[in-house]
Amino acid sequence: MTGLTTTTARLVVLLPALAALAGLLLARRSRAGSGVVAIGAAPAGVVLAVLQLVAVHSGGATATIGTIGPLPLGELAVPLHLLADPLSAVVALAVTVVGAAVQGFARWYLAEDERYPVFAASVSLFLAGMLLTVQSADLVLTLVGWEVMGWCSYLLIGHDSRRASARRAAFKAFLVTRAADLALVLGLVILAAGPRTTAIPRVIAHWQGNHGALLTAALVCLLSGIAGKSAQFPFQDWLPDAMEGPTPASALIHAATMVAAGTYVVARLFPLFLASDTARLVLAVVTAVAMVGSAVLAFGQSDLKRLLAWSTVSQVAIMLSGLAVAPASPWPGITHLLAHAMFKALLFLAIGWLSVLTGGTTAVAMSGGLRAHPMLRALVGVGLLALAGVPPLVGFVSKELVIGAAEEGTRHGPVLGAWLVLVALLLTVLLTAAYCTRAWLVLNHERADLAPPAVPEAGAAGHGHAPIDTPATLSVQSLGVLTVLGGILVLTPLVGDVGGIGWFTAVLSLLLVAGAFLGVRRGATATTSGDVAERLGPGRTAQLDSGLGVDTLYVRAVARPVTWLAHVVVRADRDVIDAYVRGTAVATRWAGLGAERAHTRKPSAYLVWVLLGMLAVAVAGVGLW
Amino acid sequence: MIHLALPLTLVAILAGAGAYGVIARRNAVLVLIGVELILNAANLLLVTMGSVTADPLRSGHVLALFVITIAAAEVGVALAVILALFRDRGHVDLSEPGT
Repeated sequence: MTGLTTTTARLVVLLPALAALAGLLLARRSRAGSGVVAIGAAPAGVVLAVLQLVAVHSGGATATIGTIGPLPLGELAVPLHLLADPLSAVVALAVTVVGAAVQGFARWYLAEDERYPVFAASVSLFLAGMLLTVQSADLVLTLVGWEVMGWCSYLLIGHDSRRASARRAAFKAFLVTRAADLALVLGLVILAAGPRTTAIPRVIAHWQGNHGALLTAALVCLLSGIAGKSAQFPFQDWLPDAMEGPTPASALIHAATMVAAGTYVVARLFPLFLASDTARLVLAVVTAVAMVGSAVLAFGQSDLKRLLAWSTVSQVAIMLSGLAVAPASPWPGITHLLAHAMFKALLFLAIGWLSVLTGGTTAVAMSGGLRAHPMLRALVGVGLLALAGVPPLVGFVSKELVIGAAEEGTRHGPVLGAWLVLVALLLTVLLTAAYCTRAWLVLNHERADLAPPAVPEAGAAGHGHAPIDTPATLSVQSLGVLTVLGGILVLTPLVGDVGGIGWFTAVLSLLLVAGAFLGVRRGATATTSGDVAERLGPGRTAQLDSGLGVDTLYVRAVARPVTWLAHVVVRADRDVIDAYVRGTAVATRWAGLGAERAHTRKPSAYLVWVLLGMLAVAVAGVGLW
Repeated sequence: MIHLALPLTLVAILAGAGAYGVIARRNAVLVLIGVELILNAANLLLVTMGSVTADPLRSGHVLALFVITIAAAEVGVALAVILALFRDRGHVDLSEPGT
């Protein structure tokens, strides 16, 4: 089966890349053509990913799939291999499934956008970048895929480039992740310098026998880049701003690609993290802060799309915390990655659908939006239940697995980090249920001030937009089905050792969910749009909407000093270094002017001087001879 | 063999006349003639000194031939410059300041 594994692993990466290229070439000629390429390539990618999964589980796992041949870099071996193992195969499947759903949905969602072909091609390239990172067995290829994703996120967030806020959000996402990536590159260089190779299996083998400060330093550097990409503390603020992109792009970035990439890379290098307790403690602290803080922020957002964005930060923190404290296996965290890919993509696409029908994504605009659309209501309901962690949906299973891993970690693993994460997790369960309930109550609020919407069917047009077509509906519905049935995944051999769900923690978190539900419902009764966050008051909501002013902090602490430094450098260059160079030119010109003034323009007198000079030379010559 | 005083006196007269021409004349052609006189004075000096020294290579005479050749080229270039100057200004008076 190794032959099949090799072929599918290569094609899984190559297909979306080729689709992106074809989409770009077709972009100016044929809108329909680029749509067909994008929507056709995505399900083909799913088929390839399934084939890869089958091949890997029939004993075809390998880590030496050649690509373009090794790079000739002297002492450093850069084989540029791909790998295919259970971890990469199942994550690649999740990525391609979400990618297919997003492509299917985006054609309808962006039906009135003349730049749709470019968008579809960017999504394909984004998927290619993510799949390259997933399939890579080489740190260099991982970095290439990682940076391709960074660039594509810039393109997708800034898709609507006529709006200044979209441009700013795109720049912010790009700059914040790039700044975080500086440390990532440093970490990768340290990791590759030890064994003098970038092949991941050999890097892991080398460093496992070399516990030490250098490994910890490399991993902490790596964590910086991962925190940037996965929008963890202190780089979290770019992700909610990324909501300026079209909703399908948000679904892609949040569910399967960009933010999940960090988790995947930690899982890929998990044996190294096991070897460094300090790095894991750093990760545990970062994720504990991020998961609780962003859940609080999610609760107070006045825009439901931003609520989902903050919930992504919180959920990604849960995945990473699973990796930070699990005593032996990365699978609880990865299971949550897979689950989150399903239900978060579902939620984003459903919210995008609803925003077309209601004409906005703020809580006020969407209030009561679901009452007229039963199918959409069911889909959003499933998504929110999964996010809140209600059994038997996939979100419950995976979250409990992470909690189980943390609980086991308090006994066997890094005790301090595990306790911290366990407490943060339970707090997050409470907060997650609270903001899910809040969103549900807002969306189902009975509005006294509004007549029932004029268009009763979910499929009907809202605000002049074309009625939803079959591929888009199917995309959202299939994600809904996966969200309901995805919990079965952990019973299959497709995922590795996930540990178990503790009865005590499961009951405790269910009680927390129920308590949050009742509390929020009680709080929401007396409000105008069914929004319990109204009680926070406008001042506090504005504060939470701005992410506690972290943006201002970024500007003050990073952007301004950098701009100031740039000004100083420019001034030093212009006024100090260039001044000398320009000074010689000015001095020469003045000397020339002076000499010109002194000149009589009559040759005879000067020729006398020449003759006298010759005479002097001759006399000197004769005298000395 | 004649006495060396005669050719050396001629050299001095030629060089002096040439230098005078270069310095005092205003007409560019006459200045050029002055330069030629100096050159020929130098040639005569080379030949004179070449014939009194026992040099197997006859370098004095050879150098004189070189000077004649190069002076021919020099005169061609200088006359062309003077012609261009005349076409440009309508005169070749060197004491008039250029524009």
